[in-house]
Amino acid sequence: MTGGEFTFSALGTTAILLVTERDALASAREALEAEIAAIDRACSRFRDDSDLMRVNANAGDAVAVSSCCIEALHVALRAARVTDGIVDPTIGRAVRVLGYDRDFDIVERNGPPLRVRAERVPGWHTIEIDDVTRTVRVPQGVELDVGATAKALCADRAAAAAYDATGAGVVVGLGGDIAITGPAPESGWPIRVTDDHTAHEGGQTIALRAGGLATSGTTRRTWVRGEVRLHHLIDPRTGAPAESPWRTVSVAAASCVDANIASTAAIVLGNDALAWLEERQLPARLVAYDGAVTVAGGWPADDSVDSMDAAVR
Amino acid sequence: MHPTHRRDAGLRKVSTFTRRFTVGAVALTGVFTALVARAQPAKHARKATLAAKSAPAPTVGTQAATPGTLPPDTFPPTNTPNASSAPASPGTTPATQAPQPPAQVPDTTPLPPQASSGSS
Repeated sequence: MTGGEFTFSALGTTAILLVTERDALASAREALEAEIAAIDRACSRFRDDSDLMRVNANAGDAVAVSSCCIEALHVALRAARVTDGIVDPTIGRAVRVLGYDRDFDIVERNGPPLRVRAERVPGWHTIEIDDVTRTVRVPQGVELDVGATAKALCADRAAAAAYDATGAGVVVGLGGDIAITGPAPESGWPIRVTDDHTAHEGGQTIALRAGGLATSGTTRRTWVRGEVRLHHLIDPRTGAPAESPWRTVSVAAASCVDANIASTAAIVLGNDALAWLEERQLPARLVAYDGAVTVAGGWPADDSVDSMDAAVR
Repeated sequence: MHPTHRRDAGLRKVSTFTRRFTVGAVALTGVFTALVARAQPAKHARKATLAAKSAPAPTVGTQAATPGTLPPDTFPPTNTPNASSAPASPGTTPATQAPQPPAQVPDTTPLPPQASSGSS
């Protein structure tokens, strides 16, 4: 293969760009970096000047934001609608008070007990978006977090932009959220699905030719307060980390956004996830805490027991 | 006629002309303003219609808010992706469309992975 590859750090995680033609790498990288910069300015929870943080800091007021932010919020609202609120962007306060209030690299991994009251999040219906004036308003007490969809949106847009710029086959991976577009290699793009997107072993390698792939899990972004282990996937119904039998769920879909909506919903749905995924014919690989693997929606069989990568135990 | 009277008559003529000119100019300005105003709402309506088509209807409680100054748009422009090989475009996905399955389900492969999908 005469393709190209580029790996770098972005959005607090690892980004990877693959192209089928090496000559396309520079233009594809430029497109990817532009999309990453836009989504970061629009949706980051860890910079005070992002559109999202300005909306959160000015609750009650209509705040002018970028079109990137508007689109990201519409995607987040769609996620909430199609999952009946299981994936909800008003989890911002819940995830913050539980301790994930800064870039994860600097979150204290082991801290004293927390005294918080976990309660149902305010709900996506509280968000007001005015597409004409390009303003967003949330009521007092509502904080937005679009982590469940923004990175995937960025991957989809970056892949599309890179393909438009080059005509080459493109894979964009952002922290394990994968978007594929353009002419794929004959045997497809080989992608490992695993607990930790930085792992070099374990999991299962599958080939995908188009669309998106996302993996949600409870074992990577995790921290302890008192003797309670917490993770970042909040159940909007309780305002607490989802209690799920699945430590990892990988879903393939028509887009990375769709895949990420489904993988996040599956973690939160827990025992109801399999039926939910099958009903939507979404290929998925679900890994329980004991490593047992269950597949759905036509995902290739995997009889292995997926031992947890050492890095995330 | 006494020169002073001729002067005064001339000044009266100038004054009358100036008044009529001013009235006429104001009237014309009003006409032009009305024409422009008639043209502007169509443009906003198109924008609103496009916004409604390209994005879901504003959520509950959307109101005409005081926007302040719009920040410069930082969204990189992109062309519409090739529909046959690109991921579903997020910007045009209907607001109530459920996640869609991929065109082809994943396949097994003996090849070494080139990328990883895992929790981040």
